[in-house]
Amino acid sequence: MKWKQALLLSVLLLCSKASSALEVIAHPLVENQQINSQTLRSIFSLRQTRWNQGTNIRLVVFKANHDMHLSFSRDVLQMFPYQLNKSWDRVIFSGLGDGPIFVNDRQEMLNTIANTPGAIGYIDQLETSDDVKIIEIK
Amino acid sequence: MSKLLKLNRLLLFALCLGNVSIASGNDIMWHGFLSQGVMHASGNNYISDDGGTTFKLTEVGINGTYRFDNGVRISGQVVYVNAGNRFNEAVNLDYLILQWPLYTDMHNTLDVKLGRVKNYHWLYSATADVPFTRASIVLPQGSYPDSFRDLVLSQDGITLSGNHDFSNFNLSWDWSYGVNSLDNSFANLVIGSEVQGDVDQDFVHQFGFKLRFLEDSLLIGANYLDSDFAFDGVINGIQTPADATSERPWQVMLQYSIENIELSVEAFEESVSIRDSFIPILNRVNTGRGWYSQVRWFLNEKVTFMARYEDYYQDKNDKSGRLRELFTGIPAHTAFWEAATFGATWHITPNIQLHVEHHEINGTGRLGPLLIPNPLINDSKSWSLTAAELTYRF
Repeated sequence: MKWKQALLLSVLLLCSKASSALEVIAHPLVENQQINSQTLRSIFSLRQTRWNQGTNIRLVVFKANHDMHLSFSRDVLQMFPYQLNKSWDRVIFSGLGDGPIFVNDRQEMLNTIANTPGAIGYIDQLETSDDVKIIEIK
Repeated sequence: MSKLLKLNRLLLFALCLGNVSIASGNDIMWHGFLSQGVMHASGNNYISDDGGTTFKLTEVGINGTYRFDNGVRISGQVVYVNAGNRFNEAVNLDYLILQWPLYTDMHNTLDVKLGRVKNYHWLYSATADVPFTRASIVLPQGSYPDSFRDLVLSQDGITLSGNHDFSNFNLSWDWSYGVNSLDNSFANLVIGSEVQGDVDQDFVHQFGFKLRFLEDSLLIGANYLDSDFAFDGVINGIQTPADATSERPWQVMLQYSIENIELSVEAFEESVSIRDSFIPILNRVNTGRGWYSQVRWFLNEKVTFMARYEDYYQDKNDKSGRLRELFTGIPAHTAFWEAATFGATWHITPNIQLHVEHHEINGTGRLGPLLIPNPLINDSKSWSLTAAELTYRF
C-alpha cells in the first residue's frame, strides 16, 4: 500500500505545482483567448502596443525585484530581467511608449488588471475570477 | 534668457504638472532624469580647453507622452546638456513625435512617426543622451562620435516602423527620412574655430532591420545611411562653398544575452566625400571603418561591470594615417581612434545610480575639429579619460 500512498503524494505534489504556475491575465474585455510566446515577448517588451481589436495594450508588472516578476521573466517569457528593463527604458525615453504600470502585490495586480481596459499582466495561484481573464500561451 | 534660467523654468513647469488627466480618462505620463558628473581627460581639449578635471558633465531631461484611445500618441522630450567641448551646451528639443498606427494585428504592427523623431536604427542611438540607458558615459566614438551627436540622436522628418512576430523569431524595421537643423557650433566642431558660416544638412536617409532569435536573447541587425551636407562660409578669410556626402553603406550589429552577461558588437563602413571647396585640405574621398565589442556583466541587481574595445580609422587605405602625414604634414595619430574602456555601475536605489569608467585611448581621430585636425591642441597620441556620473531618474 505504500506505493499507492507514494503515488497519491506524487499526484498531489504535481497538482500543487501546477496550481502555483504563473498565468497570463488580462482585462475581461480583451478578446484574445491565446497568444503565442513570441508575441507575448513583444507585448512585454513594449514592441506590440495594441490588441488586434484596436484597443491599447496596457502592461502591468510587479516591481523589478519581486520574485514573481523574476520567475515570469525567466520561466514564461524566457528573457532575463535586465533585457526587459532595457527595453522599457528605451521605449519610455525615446517617445515610443509610456512604460509598464508597476504593482506591489497580488491584490494590486488583480485590481489594476480588472480596472484598466486593455491591461495584461501575470499572477500565480489564480482562483476562478470573473474580474480578470486568463490568456493561454501557445 | 540664460540657458540655466530656461532650464529652471522648464523643470518647475514639469514638476507642477505631475500626472495630468485628460477628459478621456487617460493620463499624460511624465518621466525624466537629472545627472551630474566629473571628467578628466589628459593631454587634449576633448572636454575643456585647459585639459584637467572638469564638472562639465550635466544632463537633465524631462519627457511626456499621451496616447489617445485610437492608438495615436504624442510624445516629447527636452534635454539640457553641458559637456564642455564635447558638444554644444544647450537646451534642446530632443524629440516631438506624432505617432500614428497604420495597421495592427496580434503578430504585426505598422506605424508612422512625424516630427522630430529619434534615430531608432542603431543599438544606442535612440537614447544616447539618456545616462542610465547607455553602457557608458562616453559611447564608442567610432560609431557614436560626439561631434555628430545632434545628427546621431534624431532628425526632423518621417519614420515608418514595422514589427512582425513569427513563431520562432521577431523582425522589426525602420525607414526614416529627414534633416537636422545644425547651428554654427557644428561647423566649429567639424571644421574648426576659424570657420564663419554654417554647415547645413540637405537630408538624412536610413533603413535598417533587427532580427531577434532564441527567445529574444540574440539580436542581429543591419542598417544603411546616406546623408548630404552643404557648407557656405569663410575659412581663414577664404570664401568657400563645399558639398559633402556622408554615407554608411553598411552598419551591422549583434547583441547576445546569456544569463547575466550581455555581448554587444557594432561594425560599420563610413564614406565621406567633400568636393568643390577652395581649400584643398578640405576636399577628400575617404572610406573609413570602425567597430567595437562590449561585454556587460550584471553581477546582481545592484552592480554591473562593463568592458569594451573599439577601433576606428578614417581611411581604410591609410589606417595608420602615415600616408596622409607624408603628403600633408597632419600627424598620423589624428587619423584613427583605438580605445579600451572599463566601467562599473552601482544601482544605489531603483532611481539612483553611480557610474564610473576609465578609457585608455590611442589616437585622436574622433576629436574635433574632425576635418582639419588641430595638432597643437590634440598633440598626444596616447591619452586617457576618466569619468563618473551620478544620475537620478523619475
